[in-house]
Amino acid sequence: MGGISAVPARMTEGTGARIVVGVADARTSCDPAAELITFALGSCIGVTLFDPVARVGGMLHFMLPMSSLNPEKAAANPAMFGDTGIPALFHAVYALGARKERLVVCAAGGAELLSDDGQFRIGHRNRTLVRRIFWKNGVLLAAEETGGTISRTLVLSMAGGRVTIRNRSEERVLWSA
Amino acid sequence: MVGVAAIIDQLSHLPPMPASVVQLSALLHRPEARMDEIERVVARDEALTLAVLKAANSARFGAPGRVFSLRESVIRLGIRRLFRIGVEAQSRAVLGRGAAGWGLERGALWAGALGGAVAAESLARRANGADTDLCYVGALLRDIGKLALEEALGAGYVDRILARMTEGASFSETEREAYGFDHAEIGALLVEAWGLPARVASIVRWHHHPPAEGAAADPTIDVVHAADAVAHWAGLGIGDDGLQERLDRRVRESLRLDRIVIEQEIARTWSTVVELEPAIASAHRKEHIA
Repeated sequence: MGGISAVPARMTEGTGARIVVGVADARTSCDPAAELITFALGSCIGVTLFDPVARVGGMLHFMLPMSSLNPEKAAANPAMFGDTGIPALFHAVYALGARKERLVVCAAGGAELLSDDGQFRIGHRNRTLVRRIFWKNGVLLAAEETGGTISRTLVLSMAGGRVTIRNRSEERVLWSA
Repeated sequence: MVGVAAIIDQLSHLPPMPASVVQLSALLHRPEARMDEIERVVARDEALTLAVLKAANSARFGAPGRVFSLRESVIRLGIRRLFRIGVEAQSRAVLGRGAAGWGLERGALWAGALGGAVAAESLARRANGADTDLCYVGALLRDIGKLALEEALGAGYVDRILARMTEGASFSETEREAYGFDHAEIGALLVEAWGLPARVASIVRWHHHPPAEGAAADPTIDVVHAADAVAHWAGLGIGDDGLQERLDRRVRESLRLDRIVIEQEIARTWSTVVELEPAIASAHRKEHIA
């Protein structure tokens, strides 16, 4: 992610057919048989990256927007915050051969409590951070499904970069080649 | 229409609260209870004894590296914390298997319970008159009704509520409209049936709708209400009911919660949960793998 200085990338490459990305966690993969999945995104946001040429992908599940809240925690785990987790995810897929101009970028989550009378709006702040960081770095979101009050499970298939969202028994394609 | 009594009757296959925990609960209200009496209750339950020894000798309760006997541990921890340790051990066993019908797979329901308890313990410092240990216990048990409803009515319960959801209504409001009760009330009835203190049942019953006044008003409920939101913001225990509950404005104001405080609580809650039980992060992974 061009203009953003590198942060310690602690993203690890996942293995196996299904690679589960936890809360405040990120994983990358080069395995075309694998799928990256993160469960129950509420106000947290899931970001997926996929380079269809290099066949490299990654997924981040961050919890809060700004690492300035607790730089110590951000240093220990960049994936907890959007402003450290997103650059770290980009650097991690670059290290596996992905190129910025080819990346398909999707996002999901950022839901709100039914009502918090506008005081906290954690989901909104997470959504704003994603848009700001991508805008500043010239990254276009290929697709997103954010907001509302629902829980979302996000899946990135490494076979062709298809991104789907599951909510209870429903499955929707967010992006497909 | 399914009645509350019928649901409670169907809960016989949920493990009961161990007798030791119920006895500790009774001793909470007997200030004259002697330490040897309390120790005997703990000693009769092997699992509780192990949990108490582990807690007393842990950094969590400020004594890493020292080895305390059971008697010393009982004295050191005190009756309220012993009760809390007992409830925590049982909650882990009961909630650990999850409530798949709510979209809470194995580990997720327990993660939400522990997240709420950790958040409640911290938020209790912001509330005058809140009982920290009851905040912890009440938050641990607050969603036990989800498990109870799943046992009694199956996974279709959540589908039926979601199908009835209307704009602006919360999940628990829709439950009450559809059935005349919600998961919080069912949880409270289960807590009462277990013989735990009425105040714990009250926390569970009102954790989504904390009363502002009247006999049920209790700052301990306010704390658990806010802790429920913090746990969800930390990504813990989010099921198919999503984030479809409210955060009460009166509670926000009385606990002096602003954005920075809340975000710090979210980060701290997640970190503490993972530190207390590293298995939660890895369990989340394993349990979700098909």
